[in-house]
Amino acid sequence: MTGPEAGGRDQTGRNETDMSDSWSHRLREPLPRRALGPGILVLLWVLRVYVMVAVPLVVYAFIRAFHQGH
Amino acid sequence: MSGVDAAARPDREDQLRALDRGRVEKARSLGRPFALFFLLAGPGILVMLGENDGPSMISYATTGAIYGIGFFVPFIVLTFLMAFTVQEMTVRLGIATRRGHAELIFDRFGPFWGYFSMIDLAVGNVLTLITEFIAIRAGAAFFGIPAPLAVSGGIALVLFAISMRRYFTWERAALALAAFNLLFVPAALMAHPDWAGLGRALGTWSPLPGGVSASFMTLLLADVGATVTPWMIFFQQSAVVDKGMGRKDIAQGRYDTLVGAAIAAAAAVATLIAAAPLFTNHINVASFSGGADFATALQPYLGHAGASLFALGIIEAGLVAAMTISASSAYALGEVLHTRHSLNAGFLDGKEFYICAVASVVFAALIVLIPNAPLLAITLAVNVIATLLMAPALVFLLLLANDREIIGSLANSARSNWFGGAIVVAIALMGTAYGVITVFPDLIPK
Repeated sequence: MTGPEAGGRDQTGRNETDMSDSWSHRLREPLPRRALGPGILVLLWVLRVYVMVAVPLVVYAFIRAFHQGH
Repeated sequence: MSGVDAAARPDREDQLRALDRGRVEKARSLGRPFALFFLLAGPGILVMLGENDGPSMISYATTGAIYGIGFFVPFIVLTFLMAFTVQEMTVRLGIATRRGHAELIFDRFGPFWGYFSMIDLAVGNVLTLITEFIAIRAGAAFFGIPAPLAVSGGIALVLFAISMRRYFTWERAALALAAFNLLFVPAALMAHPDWAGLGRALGTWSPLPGGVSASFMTLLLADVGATVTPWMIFFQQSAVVDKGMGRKDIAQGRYDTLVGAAIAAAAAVATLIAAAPLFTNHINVASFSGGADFATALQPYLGHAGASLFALGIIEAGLVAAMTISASSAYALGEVLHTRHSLNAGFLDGKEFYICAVASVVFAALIVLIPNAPLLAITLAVNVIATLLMAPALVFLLLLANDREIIGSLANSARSNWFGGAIVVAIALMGTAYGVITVFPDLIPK
């Protein structure tokens, strides 16, 4: 645990009480990838399937409305 | 510019933010709570009033015209409580990480979800911006203002606010404009509402003329879609970061969001009440296509002044949303590309940011002016995108709000997880249902 509760720096690279330093340059340093547990991995795969179904629905809705409007 | 170069010299963005922070700290040290709130308010109020955009106000007016004062009055209030719960998480995320939502998704969950969220947001925002300019054009039409003039005026105002290159100025300009969302309140008063009926509706969630039907379900889901949308999550978190809010400001960040939700709920309910005479007088609004139609139809009941307020409110709704939505696209692009993304940045330092904001507004405005552009299809697509693709945005919000490695002690508590999780699931399910009903209207019996 390296969170701010521990009094150290969190993964955003700063101490939570440190308010005076530059904000802008730090934004160019990406955060590390999150270690995903099995529950979240399953959730993200379900979400992928959902997105694969939802995106064609959006395209279908647009094309149908486009034809109805002309 | 490399990260090392940017770190080597104090830049305009940091200097301006430090100036704002100095005022905040002075107000805090002098024990001036109202001054402190005045300085720290902004992202929450803007996101809530930004979502009270042109299409949303039309949705509330349609609800009032079809169902009158009854079930939907407390329901709309409930949707804003849900919106507050969702948006409050973005305040904590922004304060704890000092990073925008798009950047967090990209970094923590990888490029697939990063690019998906970015493309989803970009497409949804551009299409929504088009609907905002449709609203501006429709509201202006009530006053006889030609479409090119109305749209040009809208572009000019949004670009002028951005050109200040100062977050605080942009925010205050947007807040001043957003105050006109309350024009719907005097319009509602001119409808001479039945106060006893309003109180009864709030207390009993009734009446519900016609009971549960396809029309009821569609409006119910549309009103949820009018209150919580993906761009709100991205915008408020980025604005909290750009404003420079820190952990000491978290209470004001919450109040800001709560006040925004309360004002937006008042304006939404007022819009419903203002349109309620159309229900009482059995006016069919099925063929209405925009704000001007409602303003014209309401003129016999609200008078010319009331109808004018309604039309002005529609214009304002479109303008504020155009400012906030274009900013949310620009923030997200900068976050994903790791380029400068601040309304405090200079034009050269933040060129990608400003180009994105300006281009999205100009593109949307020009589409509205194209003769025979598929505006109906665009409006429908906006609804479907915002609702169907709300579920992934909410899931990532909840995951990030529980990511203790980056949010630390500001992570969701068990209670807020149950409460927030239930709301996220409810909104996601309702959004998905609305999207599916919109695409396949024959699925539910008439």
